[in-house]
Amino acid sequence: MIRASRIVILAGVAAAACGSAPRPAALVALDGKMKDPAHVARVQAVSPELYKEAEVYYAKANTAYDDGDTKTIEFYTDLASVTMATADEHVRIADADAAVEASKGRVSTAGAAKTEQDARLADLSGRVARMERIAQLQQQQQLSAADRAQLATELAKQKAATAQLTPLAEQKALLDDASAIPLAAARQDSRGVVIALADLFKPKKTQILPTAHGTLKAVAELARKYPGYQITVDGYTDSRGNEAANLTLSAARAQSVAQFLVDSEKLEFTRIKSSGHGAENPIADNSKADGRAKNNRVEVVFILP
Amino acid sequence: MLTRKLAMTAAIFAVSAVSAAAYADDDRDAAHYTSAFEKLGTSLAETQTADTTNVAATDVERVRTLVGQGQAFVASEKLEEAALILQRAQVIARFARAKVERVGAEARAAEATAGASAAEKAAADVKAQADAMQTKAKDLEARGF
Repeated sequence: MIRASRIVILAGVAAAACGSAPRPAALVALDGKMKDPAHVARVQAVSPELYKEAEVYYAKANTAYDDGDTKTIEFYTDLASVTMATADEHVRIADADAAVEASKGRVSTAGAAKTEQDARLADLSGRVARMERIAQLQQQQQLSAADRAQLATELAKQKAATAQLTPLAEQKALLDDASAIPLAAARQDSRGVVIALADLFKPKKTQILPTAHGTLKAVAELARKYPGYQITVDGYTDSRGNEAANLTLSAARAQSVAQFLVDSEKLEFTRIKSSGHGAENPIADNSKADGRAKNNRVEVVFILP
Repeated sequence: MLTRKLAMTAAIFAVSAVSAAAYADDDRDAAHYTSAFEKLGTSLAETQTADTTNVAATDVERVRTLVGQGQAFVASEKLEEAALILQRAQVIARFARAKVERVGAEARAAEATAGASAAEKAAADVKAQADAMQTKAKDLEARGF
């Protein structure tokens, strides 16, 4: 009994001695947390059990402080601080969960907005496509009209120019144009304008050499430019050899040229006739090689209308 | 000298008195604390596994130290000390778990926020396209189409 009384007295003395001691820093920090109204309200709203628990520890720490019990102060201050920190983590978890929910709402709203804008875009795209198609068609029509107008103008000019040409003037123009054809010799006689073409074939052959195609194309172009003329293709040989063979060879060569003009150059076949004349009507001396080369020829004659 | 001795005695008595007051009615035995520390160790391992960012590494280490100390107290039949250690370790372990959960929640929130932003951008992009198309349509309409 005496011992017990002595202990109580000693404890009281110790408590009185510590009660006036400075408040520990950790407890002061905890004071700030426990007395911050906004913080407390947030923690209480999210995690009331943890706050209640922290309050109990805090109260015990304060009681220990009043009692001057340093070890118990430290113990409960630590428990209260950690418990409040745990509550703070729960607050952050709640904030994160709220952010997730808010994001779901944003996704939903954005999805609806996108659906709406997709539909709007599709509608507008359709309208624009239709209008652009109309614009394109109108432009094409305008271009066609322009083309037609240009063609009509050119046609009228050509008709006017043709009308102004006298037959003689046209014949002269044709002769001038024929004279401009490379590797060809043009002249005028009673039939019309004659274009003599040599070096179209290998000796004794009837197949046109590829090197002669350009000359024949130029002849075809002339035919198209002067559509009023019928065309006769006449084949000739030099005087050597059998007369019948020469006749056959010249006819075959004339036929090859006429065929080229019709098949390759698409001239109307009704405009063109061909015939072979063998060694008739030489235009050079058959006793000389260069003369014979000139006599081996095909003449394209633009017959006067 | 006498005063210092008295003060020290009083202090020891005070701690013991508080502890005794708090746990005097605790009739739990050593087996209870052994089991409690084992469970805490298991729980701590789960927390550590889940803690991919090491946000709670310090707390886990602290709890592990406390568990070791507590088990030592149990072994030496100092159950009151073991009880205090257990309480502190449980509170810190709970804090560690909350930290790990919070990191996960914030990661999910960041992902969801990014997803929402992407969805909003997609909607805004389509709206911009639609607005441009509307301007084009008005232009064509103004030209009489």
